[in-house]
Amino acid sequence: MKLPQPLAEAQELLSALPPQQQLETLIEYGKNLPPFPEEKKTEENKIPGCISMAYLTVRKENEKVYFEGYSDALTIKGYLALLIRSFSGMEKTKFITEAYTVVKIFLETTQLQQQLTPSRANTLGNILKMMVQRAEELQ
Amino acid sequence: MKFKKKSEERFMDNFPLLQKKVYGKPLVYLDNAATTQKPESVLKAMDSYYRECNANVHRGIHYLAEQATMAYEEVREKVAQFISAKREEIIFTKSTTEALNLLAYSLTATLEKGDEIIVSLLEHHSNFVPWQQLALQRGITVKYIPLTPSGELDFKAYKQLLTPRTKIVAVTAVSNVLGTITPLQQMIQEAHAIGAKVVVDAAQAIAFLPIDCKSLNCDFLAFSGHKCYGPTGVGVLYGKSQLLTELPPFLFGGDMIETVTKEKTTFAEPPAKFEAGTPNIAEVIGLGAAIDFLQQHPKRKEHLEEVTQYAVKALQQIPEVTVYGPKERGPVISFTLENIAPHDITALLDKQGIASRAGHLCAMPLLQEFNLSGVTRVSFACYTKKIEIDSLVTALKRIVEVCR
Repeated sequence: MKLPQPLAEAQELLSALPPQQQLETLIEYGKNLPPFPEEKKTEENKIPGCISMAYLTVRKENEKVYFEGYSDALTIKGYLALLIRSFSGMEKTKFITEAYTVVKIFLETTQLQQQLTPSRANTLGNILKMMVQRAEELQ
Repeated sequence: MKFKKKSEERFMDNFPLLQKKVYGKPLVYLDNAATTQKPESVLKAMDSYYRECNANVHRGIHYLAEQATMAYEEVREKVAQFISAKREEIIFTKSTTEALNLLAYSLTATLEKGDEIIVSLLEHHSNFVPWQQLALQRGITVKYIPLTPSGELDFKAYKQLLTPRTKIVAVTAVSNVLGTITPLQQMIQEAHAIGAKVVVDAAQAIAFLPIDCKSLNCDFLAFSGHKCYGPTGVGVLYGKSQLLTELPPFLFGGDMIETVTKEKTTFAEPPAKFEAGTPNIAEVIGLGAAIDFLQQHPKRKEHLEEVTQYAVKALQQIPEVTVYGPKERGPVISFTLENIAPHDITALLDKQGIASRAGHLCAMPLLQEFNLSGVTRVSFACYTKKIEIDSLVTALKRIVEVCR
């Protein structure tokens, strides 16, 4: 299965980096995340099981899904930024069908989860789960 | 403990794990408030026990059982001597947490509805939640000693909280978050003046301050082996002899009885009354070796104070860092970095070979007082070197750069 362009690029880069630079690169990705509106920081948009504050919204336009997100944890913010860049604008059905597989490939190749604390590593799973669930709920 | 380079290296050799490299970098272990590393002597003592005299303690009438019992009971003597107590006042538990739960259950069983317990807001959850929960179950009131802005106990407020209904005061000797050293002596005097008993959580103090239960005159005191260079799975509860005799047992089972019939059970005298079941024998023996290690290094307090003050000063020179807690403190520093989540800091430090800890540090009520949801904590031990603090500062400056 082909990875979306941003995820494929990140996969190539991160796989070649030692642990410290992997995390630093992830933090760099977060700096490009567009600002998240304050009024959307609600209980409903909160990413569950995340020890820091993290939010996610999904909308649909012409059968394509678009995401917005925020986290006050920089590593999580970086990961969110990467997923949002990779999946925003993707056909809803394609996203729902392929997201889990492509992210699994990405995480396995980069071993990114091993660089994070267990609670942070769990959060990665929760983010994707929420993205897919919310996309499925969209009419 | 002041070391010249060569003796410093020799000293480090005592701790096999400190030779380790993580992510290709020398390990800088600054998570000692969570657990300390173990010297070779502790590892050897536990290994020898299993190789040379493993048997269940007490009641066994064979050579190995006698050897194991002797070794186990010698540690009781050693601990008693180390904290100025009598051997029958030393109870082995699995941890400080278990010791404090034992007390919370047994002590509150003797209280009446409307009686009061005073707990400080500095407490680790293990000296907070047991009192809170038992009080809820038994209709007892819990009152909390507030803190000053710098994180010290508000002594004036404490005195005002004491009433004739106060039966128990539970307080830490050293905060695991702020490093605050509490004025135990005065607190105990005040509590005793109105007839209350004082429970001291010495988990963070045991490797740092000299603990003398006799002169302190505390009623109960608890600590863990693993925070003073011993193994996990062993804790100590000290209790004044008379009080332990009066206190009902916590756990029932083998070793804690005198006679058992179908109708009733009579209990053994302390300490056996509070040591139901097979204890963690190897861990107790490991603790004995840790006590020996502590006694061989009487200047550990001076060393820890020196390293801590050096670290506070160094951290305060990074403009983005906020250090919490009073000036005079135990070997614990909690801090935040502007706009960077504590877990991010810890994860990034880790990748530079530095072990620290982040989060609420099992002291959520304390963090709430400072309007914080988490901090990063570095904590020191007798093997911590100033050069490691320099590495920490360099690593933090890099983190500030990367996250800018």
